[in-house]
Amino acid sequence: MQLQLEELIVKAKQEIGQCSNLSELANLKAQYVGKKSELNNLFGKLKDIPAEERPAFGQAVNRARNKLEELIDGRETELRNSIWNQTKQGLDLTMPGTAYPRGGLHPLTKVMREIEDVFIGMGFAIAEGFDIEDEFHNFDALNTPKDHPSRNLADTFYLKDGNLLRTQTSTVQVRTMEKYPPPIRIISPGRCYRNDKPDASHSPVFHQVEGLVVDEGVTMADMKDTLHRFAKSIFGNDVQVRLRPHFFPFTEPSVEMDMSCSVCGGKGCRVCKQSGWLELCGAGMVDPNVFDILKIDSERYTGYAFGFGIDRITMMKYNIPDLRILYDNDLRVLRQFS
Amino acid sequence: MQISLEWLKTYIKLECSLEELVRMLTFSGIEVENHYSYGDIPNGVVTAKVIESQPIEGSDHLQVCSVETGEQKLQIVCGAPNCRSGIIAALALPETNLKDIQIKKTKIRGVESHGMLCSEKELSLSEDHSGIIELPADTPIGKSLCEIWNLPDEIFELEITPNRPDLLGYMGIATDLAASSGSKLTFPEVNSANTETDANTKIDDHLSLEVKEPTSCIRYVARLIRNVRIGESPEWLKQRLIRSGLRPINNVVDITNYVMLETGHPLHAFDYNKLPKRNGKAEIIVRNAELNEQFCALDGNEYSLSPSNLVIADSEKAIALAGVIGGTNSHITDNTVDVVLEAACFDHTSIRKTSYQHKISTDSAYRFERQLAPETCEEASLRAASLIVTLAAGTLSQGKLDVWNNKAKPLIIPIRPSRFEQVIGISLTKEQIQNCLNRLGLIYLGEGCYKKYYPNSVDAIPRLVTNADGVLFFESQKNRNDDTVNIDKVEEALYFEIPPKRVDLTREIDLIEEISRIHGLDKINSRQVVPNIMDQHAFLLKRKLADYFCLRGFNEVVNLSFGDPDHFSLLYGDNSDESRKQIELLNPQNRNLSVMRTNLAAQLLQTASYNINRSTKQMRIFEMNRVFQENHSLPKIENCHLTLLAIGDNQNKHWKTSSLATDFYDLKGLVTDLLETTGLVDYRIVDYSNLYYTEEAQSILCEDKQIAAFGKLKPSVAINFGIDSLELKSDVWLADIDVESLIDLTRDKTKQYKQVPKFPSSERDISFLIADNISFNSIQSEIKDAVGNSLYGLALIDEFRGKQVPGGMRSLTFRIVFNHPEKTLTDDEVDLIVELVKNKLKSLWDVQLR
Ligand SMILES: [Zn+2]
Repeated sequence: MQLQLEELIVKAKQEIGQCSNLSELANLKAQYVGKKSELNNLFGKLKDIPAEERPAFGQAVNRARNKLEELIDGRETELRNSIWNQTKQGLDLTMPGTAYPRGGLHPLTKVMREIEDVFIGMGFAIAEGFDIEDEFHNFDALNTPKDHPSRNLADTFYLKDGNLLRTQTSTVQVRTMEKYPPPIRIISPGRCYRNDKPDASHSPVFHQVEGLVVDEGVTMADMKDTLHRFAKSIFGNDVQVRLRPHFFPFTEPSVEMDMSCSVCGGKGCRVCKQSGWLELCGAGMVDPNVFDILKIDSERYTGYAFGFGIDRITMMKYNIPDLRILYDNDLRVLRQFS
Repeated sequence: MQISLEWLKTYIKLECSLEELVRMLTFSGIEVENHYSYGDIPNGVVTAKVIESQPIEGSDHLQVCSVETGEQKLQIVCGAPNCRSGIIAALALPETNLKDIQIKKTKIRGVESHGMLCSEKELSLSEDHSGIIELPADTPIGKSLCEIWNLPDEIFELEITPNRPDLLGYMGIATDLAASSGSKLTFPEVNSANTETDANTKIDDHLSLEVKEPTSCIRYVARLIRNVRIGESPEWLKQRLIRSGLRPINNVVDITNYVMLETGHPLHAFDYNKLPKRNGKAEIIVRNAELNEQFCALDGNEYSLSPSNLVIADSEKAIALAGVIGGTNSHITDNTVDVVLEAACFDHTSIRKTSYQHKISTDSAYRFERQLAPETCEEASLRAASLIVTLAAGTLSQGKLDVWNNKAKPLIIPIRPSRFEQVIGISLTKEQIQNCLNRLGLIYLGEGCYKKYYPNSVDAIPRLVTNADGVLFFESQKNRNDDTVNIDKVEEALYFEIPPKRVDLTREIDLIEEISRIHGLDKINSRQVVPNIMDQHAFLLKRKLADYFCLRGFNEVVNLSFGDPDHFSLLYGDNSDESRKQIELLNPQNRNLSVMRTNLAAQLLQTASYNINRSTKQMRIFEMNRVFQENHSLPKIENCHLTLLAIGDNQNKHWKTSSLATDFYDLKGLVTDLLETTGLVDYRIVDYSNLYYTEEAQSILCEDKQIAAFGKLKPSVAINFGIDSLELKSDVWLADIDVESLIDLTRDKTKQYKQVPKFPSSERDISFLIADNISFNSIQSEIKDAVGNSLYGLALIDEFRGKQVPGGMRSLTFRIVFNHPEKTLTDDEVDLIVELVKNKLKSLWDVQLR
């Protein structure tokens, strides 16, 4: 009896060892330990055996069964591993990965978005206006004298009907102050137009972001911090800023803000003409006259306004030497920013 | 916390509607989680006396009773174990509608029954169905039960925020409601003089008290009430407990619970006779437990204590886990005669630790761990003692034992009206501030100067006084050296003494919160911080559009806003209608920059040509910007468009993926997929004819507005811009999206969740040959129609023309996904539908199924 079981195991061991695929192994499993297996037949014979031998017999059959299952499971693991571990022949892992189509935003848009996000993070809302404006919103409301040279045909594009193309996005500020009471906290990104001949640093169409904050207790110190934080967000934490007196018709005091040169870090180089400083934006405290024109209580409220050119900042940020490159749309350039 | 409106009304006059009360609670910061009517019992349920009862033959529990209602005697069959002659019960008369049953005259086991004696469950009062309701013997009979029990009542489930332990009792809630509504309060009066009925016994002779842990046990008040008669509580008291979510036990225990609910301060009662005596005196010791000290609690569990647990002990053993739970060795039983009444105040962190450590949550621990005021001990103790005297016939011994270490002085806090305005944004007069705080029980001490460090007594308040010359002084400074104070720097403040129950009021800002709450948050006018200028939706959608095309391989280009009027005729031919919309500049720099552009396509074609001349022959580019049209006045029409152009393959050549020449379906897929991502669904696609597109063009309409068009540019137009499609071996593809319209059409449209199918889906593919001139659209709609409501998905997965396919025909393969909303479709059912579809196609057209 015991001998019979041992022979069975020896035979099974051989067959299982030679078995080379999973479906063959499944057949062997049925053959050796399945319902119709020899082993199960032996269990059926249990009742023919004298009662006192039954426990020993049962144990022996169970041991054999366990041994067979162990052999089958072991072989299954071996077979699975050999399939899983098969390596594709001739695989060259250095070949390039699948190419997915990839386009990209224009550098001007990238910078514009970056600036928008910085100001949104500081609680500014984005206000949009129109490109085509009238003289009141572009000049009069901004305290520009009637005979100011910027109103000339040589500086400003006019339409045949007497309207004009805005020369700055400050027009949006005017329209916002006409429509909404303070507090106001906006930036207005958009296109502006000036009658400049295209060259390395001029374009008749260019992009600006202007900002306006009007509230009680707004000071130049607030403005300085806001603009410094903006400069740091775009050009890095080490950027220094300084204010210089300047003139704009709609701000008083008016300033220009310079930032430490992003190329040389302030030591002086060709880009900053050895000064260590680059002009970043014009700014100032809103002139009380502007508030008066727009019927805002200039005693109760103060405000600051600022504006900068996106084109210039884009050139500075990406080290682009000529403004015209931005408007050529040469895909060999644009794809660098994909 | 669960409270009964009827009980609450005994403390505060509430004449408002239920809705108003809910509103008042909500706006004074007490969230009403739920409220429901309790005991809306029909008038047909009356009190009745059981005069006699006899078992019914052949039943092991039914009895036939004779019941008197005053007017009449009725025969009632009842199965309740407690039904017996002499009791007063609640009888539902015939024709009364109870929640589950209508009472009728009926026969039970052949015996007539003219109504039903009710259990609490049958009247929806509780889940108790163990027996019928028994009313006190002195209850008048023949009255409606509602009248006897003051029903219906309204039960409120309130959420009390953890900072407001003063609201953990009816009186606290009434006080707060009175403050916000101005209603009058009536609280029960208690004083020791008329309660101490036992002139001959002094508590000192019978009980001693020692507090070994003054930090954990802030105050302990004990009273001794002797010769109590333990029994059931009166019905009104039981009713109040039940409606507040507690089960009545016996009169003494019920009274401690009742007073806890009333005052918010938990009490405990010990059986005096269970405490061992020394020299005839029992001892109460408040100490820390010993390590592994065993304690059998009233919840039936035995706890192994540790020294961080505070216990109340007698001379031998712990008799209560302080503030958390009582012990079985000393609790009130039916045999109790003399009662020690504990009213104590324990440190909240100690209670929280113990209750957390042993995972015991009780009404008592819940209150103590929120920090109670030691001042309330006395009022709660007296109130409970007087109730025990009245309701359990006990006699109160003279005096009390009261240990109160480190008794704190009442807190004095200033509130500056200016500060209130600075924080809340509205200005209140001093009178309004006083009024709000007085209503909350704060005591006004007068005006003074604001001091950051609050005074610890009334005398220390820095008063402001005016001298004969009208100069303002700090009183204290005047006393010192007569220095005048610059009035501009002095801030006026109102000083208040805080009632001890309000442990949450410790700083000026807490008073500001209280004033804003009592005055009413709805009275604060919102102040606009930033006007609503930004159009978020437009802003985000524009970014989404640009990002979408970037991710699909397009590069954004930026062109000037000026157009060349000649380009116009290159695109449109000599169409005077279109050209009249152009806006001309007065002072252009060149003729080719002399108008505002009306489209983005012309410059995209120029850009393409520029790049082709620089050997970039495969490109996908787009511009999103404004185009302009004349409008005769301002504002002109300035609409944002997105126009794209594709030439060459739809992706770069790569060893692994095959690139394909851009075609019509590429553009169609791009545009329709984009619309899907914006959430736009109800659009139509129609054929499009335009001056510069070939016939391979379609447009997309939504609400009869054209929002997009796409197709192949006429080679004759392309060559006008220097693009020779023959030489390039590629067509020029354009698509244009009216961004402004898309913004309007997708505004406020959020995709809504749809439930996924409950049952598994199955798929079938069907292929057939069909004539070229039969459109996909018409085939698709016929298939949809034939499948009906089992359709879950339908896709064209193959089109084939080739050797095996006869000329003028094509082979199409559709994949249909089936899913029935109410069942799992069997294979046979699905096959049947597929057969239906095939037959329908065959009947309509000359199709050859494959
Ligand atoms: Zn430099």
